[in-house]
Amino acid sequence: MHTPFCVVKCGYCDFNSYAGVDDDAVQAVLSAMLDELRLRARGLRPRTVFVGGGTPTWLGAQRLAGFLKDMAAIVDLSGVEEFTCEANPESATAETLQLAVGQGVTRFSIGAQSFDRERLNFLDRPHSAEDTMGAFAAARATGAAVNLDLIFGLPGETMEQWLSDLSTALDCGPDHLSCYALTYERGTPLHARRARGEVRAAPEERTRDMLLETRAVLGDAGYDAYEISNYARPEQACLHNLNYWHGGAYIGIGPGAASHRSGRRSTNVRALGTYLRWVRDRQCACDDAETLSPERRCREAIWLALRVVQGAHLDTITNLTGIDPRVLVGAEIAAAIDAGHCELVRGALRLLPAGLPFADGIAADFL
Amino acid sequence: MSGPLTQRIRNFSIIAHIDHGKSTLADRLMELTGTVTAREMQAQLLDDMELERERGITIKAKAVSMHYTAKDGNRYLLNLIDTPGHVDFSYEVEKSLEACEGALLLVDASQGVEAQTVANAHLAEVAGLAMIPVLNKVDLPTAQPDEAAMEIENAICLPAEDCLHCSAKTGVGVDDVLEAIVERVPPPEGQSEAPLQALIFDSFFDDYRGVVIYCRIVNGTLEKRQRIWMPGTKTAYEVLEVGHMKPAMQPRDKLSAGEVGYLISNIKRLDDVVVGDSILIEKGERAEPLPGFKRPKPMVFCGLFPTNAGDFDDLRKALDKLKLNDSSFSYEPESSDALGFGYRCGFLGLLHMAIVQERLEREDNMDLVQTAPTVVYQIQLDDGSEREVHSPSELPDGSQIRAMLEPIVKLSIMIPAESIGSVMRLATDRRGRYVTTEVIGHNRQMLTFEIPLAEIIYDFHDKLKSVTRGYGTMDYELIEYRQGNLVPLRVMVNGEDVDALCTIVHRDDAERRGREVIQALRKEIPRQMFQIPIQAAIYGKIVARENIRALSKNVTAKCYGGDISRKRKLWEKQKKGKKRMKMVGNVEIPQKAFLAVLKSDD
Ligand code: SF4
Repeated sequence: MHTPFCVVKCGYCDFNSYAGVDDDAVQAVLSAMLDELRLRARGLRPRTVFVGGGTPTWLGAQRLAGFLKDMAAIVDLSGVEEFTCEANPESATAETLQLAVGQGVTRFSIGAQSFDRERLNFLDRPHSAEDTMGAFAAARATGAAVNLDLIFGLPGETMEQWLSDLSTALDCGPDHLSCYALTYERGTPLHARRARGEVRAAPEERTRDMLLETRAVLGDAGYDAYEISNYARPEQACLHNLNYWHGGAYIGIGPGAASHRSGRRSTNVRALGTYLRWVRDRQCACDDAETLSPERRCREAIWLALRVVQGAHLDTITNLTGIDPRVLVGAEIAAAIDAGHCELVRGALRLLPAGLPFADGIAADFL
Repeated sequence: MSGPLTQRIRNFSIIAHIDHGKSTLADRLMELTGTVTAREMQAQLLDDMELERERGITIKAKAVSMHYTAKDGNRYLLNLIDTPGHVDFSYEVEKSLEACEGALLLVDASQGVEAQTVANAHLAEVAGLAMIPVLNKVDLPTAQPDEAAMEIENAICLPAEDCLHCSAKTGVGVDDVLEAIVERVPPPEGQSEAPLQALIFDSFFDDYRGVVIYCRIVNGTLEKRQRIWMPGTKTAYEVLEVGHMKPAMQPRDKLSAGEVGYLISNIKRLDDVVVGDSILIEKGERAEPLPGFKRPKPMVFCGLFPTNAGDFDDLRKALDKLKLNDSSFSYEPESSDALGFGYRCGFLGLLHMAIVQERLEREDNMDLVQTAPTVVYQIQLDDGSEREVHSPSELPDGSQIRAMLEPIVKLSIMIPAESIGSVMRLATDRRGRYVTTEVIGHNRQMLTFEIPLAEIIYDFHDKLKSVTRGYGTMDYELIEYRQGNLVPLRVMVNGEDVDALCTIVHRDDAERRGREVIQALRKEIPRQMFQIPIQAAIYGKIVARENIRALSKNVTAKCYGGDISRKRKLWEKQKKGKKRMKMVGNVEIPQKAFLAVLKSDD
């Protein structure tokens, strides 16, 4: 469920989210999302639910709870194993989180990003470290699992600064941590600033070292690096995200939301007004769809699964796509192993530590 | 009616700079004369190839016949012969102009006269054509017709008051242009009773009918079933069909002296017909061939290699196919240590080269690596022999070379007065020798230089545009071969000599060029998982070196919200970019790097 609203738009953000949307429009989008949910998922019994965006907590306690309640009336949540709601420190009040849990939420993902004022400022984040601490405590108090999102590799950020952020996060004792390197996405103000020479991206060596150091530190603290950017205490890996990497099916509801089923990938239209009209007039907000051939699906499956610690299980991919990767991309597999980037263990192709810094490039070789 | 009287024929062409509105005017003329109805009119009918339309130029000449009833009440046959608009095709322009008695000199009233227009106007003058200056786009608020007329008077010696004003876009003034063609262009001379003498000014390949020739009948008549002889290629054919272009082919029994039309014989290959050749009768009293025939020689060469070695056969097929439609380009197999098997291709000029490459990539979906273009050098060896070198890697050992000669061109540059300093610097930095300045308008001058062709074949035009803020235009013609102190600049990547990156440079510039090349390569070759040394050397002596640091990280991705398609497409795109790279040893070198060796970074 993609709620596309935020209090301000962060300079690095290329998610489909909008700041300053007025109440009527918000209401219209939310009810269109429920309509879309009715059209596409009525009676469905999902295993995981993820309410993200955007900033779901921006809606406020009543609106969010009402929305979640309406949702629960459409889909059957009795089989849900994980129900995540994203929360941003400036709007994650105890009341909001409590009401959300009352509607079935089992896990909060808090957008902390950093605990340093300057870095939060650089990222245009509208909250302070204290807000984050408060939000974390409130989330903990509900009994739900908690994830913290962090960003490293900001311009000028030193290793010490990053490690200090990381240890502050660890002190909170989250169940899960997502640590992303800052990326400069096309079309964002940050990207433009870099193009104008106002900011200079951190050197690759430094972000690489940060990545490796993060894994070491979190490993020592008992967090398993189950995916390139994601770390979890035992049994706390995010099932919803794993489903993405494993090529599973999911239905994305809301403006710009993405869906997948059996090799058919589709994305909703991003603009709010068009989204409203399309849901109303065409009963479908899908803007772009592609059906992958078994071959491309097989390639995609390896590309995705290499991000996960267990790697790409070749027989599973063969069963899923009908194409044996050993036949389709045998040469690429051999090359990745020869280069010392990957290994084949119990039928799965996995990234070796030496390959980790090049993970994107290595995985893309299979596309 | 058996064909209009010679007195009522007007053969003319339009001389114009790119963008000055030639195609639009041609469209308007066809529309006003009812040759093509507005409904049939596609924009830029004459520029019928997608690529040419994009580049805003007409590459191949074509002809169209129009009937026009003038104010004097008579009906005239107006033959518009289109000329290629680019310097690379100056020989073809010359031949097209020779098929006419008059030319419209079309000048954009806000842009003024450009270098190319002057060059082509000179050709028209040499061919003895009546010239009608026409100022186009006079409806634009930026138009300065008086200034433009003055420039025409100064640069081309046509009285400013003779200029017609029109807007091809709106149609204003186009009637006057038609009237002027009738009044000011003389009717063709020539005897229909004399032995046949016709000029081939263009040809194209039709999938169904084979080669179609465009010709101008100078003397005599060309008839169906006649046996003809082409002295340039020394071949004989039977005429199967003749006719007019309106603009579709319209068969007629014959074409008489003064007329322009097409001819179909049983000609299979475009190569068998050469622009500028004559058409005479095979047997009986045969006239002299028309003067000035030659085969245009390629001036610029480059290597084209398939990115995937397996595509070599496809490349050959694609080149064969291209040659069917473009006899002016040449190709022969070449092999490179670095790039494997490919072809050495010769072009009339740089634009010609760019067009061919784009066409190959677009129409045949080929992924190509193109090596830096080079001119043809003449080498004199110690043993007294001489040879031509089309590729730096063909250069014999330095110790055997007695002298190396390179082509020198006369370069004319038309610029606003304020950029004289920077253009002077640009040309002299590239071994240009200043010849003259001519004042054309109150803010426009034409500079002339003698400069080695090698110095202008790569990014000179772009540089000229940038130092003149887009206003500078240029034109060049070959004058002679001159001896130069030239040396091969070799490039080593990761210790391996990459033949395809070798260039020929002037000895005095060698160190500087070496540094520039290495800098450019450092930017173009992506970092790989190990450090790569790159070096430039002259006869074994290293003149510049750099290291490309090893890549250290490319892990960033998050697939937020499961929008996997978008991420995947991004990667797929990057991978496609990678496909355009060539593995040399164990280093991936992108296509752009092979051209970067000619870039000057100043
Ligand atoms: S809060 Fe999140 S979704 Fe909203 S603008 Fe910032 S980064 Fe984007």
